[in-house]
Amino acid sequence: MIRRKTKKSIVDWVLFVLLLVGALATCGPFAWTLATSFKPDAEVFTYPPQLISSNPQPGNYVDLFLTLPMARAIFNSLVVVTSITILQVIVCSMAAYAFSFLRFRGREALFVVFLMALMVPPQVTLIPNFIMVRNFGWIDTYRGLILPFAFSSFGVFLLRQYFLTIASELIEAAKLDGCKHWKIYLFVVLPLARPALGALAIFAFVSQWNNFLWPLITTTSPEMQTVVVALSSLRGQFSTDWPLLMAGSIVAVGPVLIVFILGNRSFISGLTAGSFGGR
Amino acid sequence: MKIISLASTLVALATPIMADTTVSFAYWGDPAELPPFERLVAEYEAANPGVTIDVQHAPWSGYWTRLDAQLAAGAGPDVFFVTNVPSYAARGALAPLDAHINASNFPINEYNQEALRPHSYDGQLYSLPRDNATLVLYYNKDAFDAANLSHPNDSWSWDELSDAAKALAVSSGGRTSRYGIVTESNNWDVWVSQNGGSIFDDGINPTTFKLDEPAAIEAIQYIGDMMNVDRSMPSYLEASQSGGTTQMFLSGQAAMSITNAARLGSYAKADFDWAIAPLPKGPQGLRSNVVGGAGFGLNSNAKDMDAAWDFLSYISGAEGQAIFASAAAPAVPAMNGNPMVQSSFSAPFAEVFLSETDNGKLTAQFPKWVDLQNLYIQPALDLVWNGEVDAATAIGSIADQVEAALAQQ
Repeated sequence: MIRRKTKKSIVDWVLFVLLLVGALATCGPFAWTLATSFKPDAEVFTYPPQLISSNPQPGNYVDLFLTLPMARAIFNSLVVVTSITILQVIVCSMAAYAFSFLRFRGREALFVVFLMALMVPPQVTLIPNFIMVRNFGWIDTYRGLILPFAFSSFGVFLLRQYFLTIASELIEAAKLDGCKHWKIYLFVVLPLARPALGALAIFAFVSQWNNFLWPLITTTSPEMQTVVVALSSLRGQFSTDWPLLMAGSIVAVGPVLIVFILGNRSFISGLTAGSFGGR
Repeated sequence: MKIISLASTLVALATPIMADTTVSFAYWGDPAELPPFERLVAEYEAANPGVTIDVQHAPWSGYWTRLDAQLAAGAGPDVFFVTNVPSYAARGALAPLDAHINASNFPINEYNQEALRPHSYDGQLYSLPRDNATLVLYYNKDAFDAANLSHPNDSWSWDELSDAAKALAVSSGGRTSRYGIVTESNNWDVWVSQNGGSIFDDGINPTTFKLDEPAAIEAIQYIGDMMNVDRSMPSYLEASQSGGTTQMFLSGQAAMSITNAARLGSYAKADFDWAIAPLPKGPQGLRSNVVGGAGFGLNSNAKDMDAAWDFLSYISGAEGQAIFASAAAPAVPAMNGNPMVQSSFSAPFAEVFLSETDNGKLTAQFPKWVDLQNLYIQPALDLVWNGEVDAATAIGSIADQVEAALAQQ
């Protein structure tokens, strides 16, 4: 018994050290960003490097909001990214429902076509999408920022794979009780798929929050810029305002952190809520 | 309903015959560089009722991605801020300006003629330069005084510069804690022309590669030696990792810095005294500086070409140039033959910037230039900057390839 215990604690320690290294590797750059956001311009690249500035400048955060329309940019990002997230969850879950529970001719072939769309890099579709959005007259509008992302083949794939794990007995039971597809989708599949829906929502939110290329190309006025695009204007042709850029990054990372923390708690807990206790 | 239609008829009657025109105008700039653009647009709109300027600002880092995507889609702003003009002209993205210039008597002769060369392609002018990225020597006065060295002046040549840089370099524990000087990687060609060398026989229509000739080799070796023998100048890689000319000069990690007027803003925050001197002369007394700066061009797809030209001729005319020259982050005017523009240039040490602008010399600007640099010249130069081989070997090894590429075009 004792030997077993020491062996186990050695394994624990090794795991602990590995996790610690991983945690430091992830938190290090974040700490450096936070520290730099309080430094005066001349201290950013001093050697030897100093984490804590001798002359902290909390005013950098005030300057950030004075030099850039940050409040507007955060609002734009929230509007755009929240809409995309909601739309993706609705559209992808419906498509995934069709691919999992409806039987129709050519279903598998169509699904393969969807999977192929996953493999096309976004740079390839950039110009055609741009031409389309321009012809619709959607340049510099929320519509132009949101609607091209209302659907994601990754989301369909993710949800379909999850839906297939839902016990067919549940679907059949609902059918026997007289449920049509709408009711099965709303009251059986969606509640059971909460963890997958949550994962898709977090994924969509984070990746769209960081999306740079599309908002850059389709917005032309500062009033429509998202946070990431607005922040990039601190990188000039000849110089970069590092302290402000880092302060901006800290501000921009806030909403993502909040969504992630909230999402983790409410959605991942859904993983343990089972339907068939004894199976 | 009747009231509304009556009202709209009245409005239609009240506005001049010229229908409302919109000209879209795209430019880049960090927050400090934007006020002159905003002022220009406001003043033009005030002077031209019925014309709306649709402003499309993008940061430098994203500007080109957006512009290229828009142009590829057959769209894009009517008037746009642009560099690498020949490659855009060769693609047909820019409309030639000569006919507009002649028809409207635009004072093109008041521009620095050398500065116009990088903005032309195939004998036609495709954009009008806003400014010239004239280089000057910034120096930390406190560091010179502490080292008991005399300050740089207009009689300095290469020897004085490299001696001072060596004397100012401080190393501790195998690491250089202060370099004598920091320079920018894309300006190595200035040293070549200061030594009487050149990259090609003709910078616009090159037929022969001249960088392998002794005058050019000597200049490249001079830079390489400051980096690797004297260790008085950081290699370009190290400089960029340490924040470039802005950060290294500001933080006292370099006592001199050769860069353009865009630095005036950040250097104003320095906690030491600094001043500006002209670039040193070459060993034979030759002076040279860069030519080139961004310009304003006309989109060949512009809907209303005349309205677009009218706006372009305003921002690139004397009034527009004066606004840029007098901004808080001043641009060294390219229209330096106009007295009003000249007198409105309000930068500190303005006379040094203006006289150095006259030394501007074009080294290379043609559509294939960017590719030639990336494929051959830059990799060879990097070997010299890293101290791996000497300049003659590095450049000699690519001469045939560059000649062959030139013959192809």
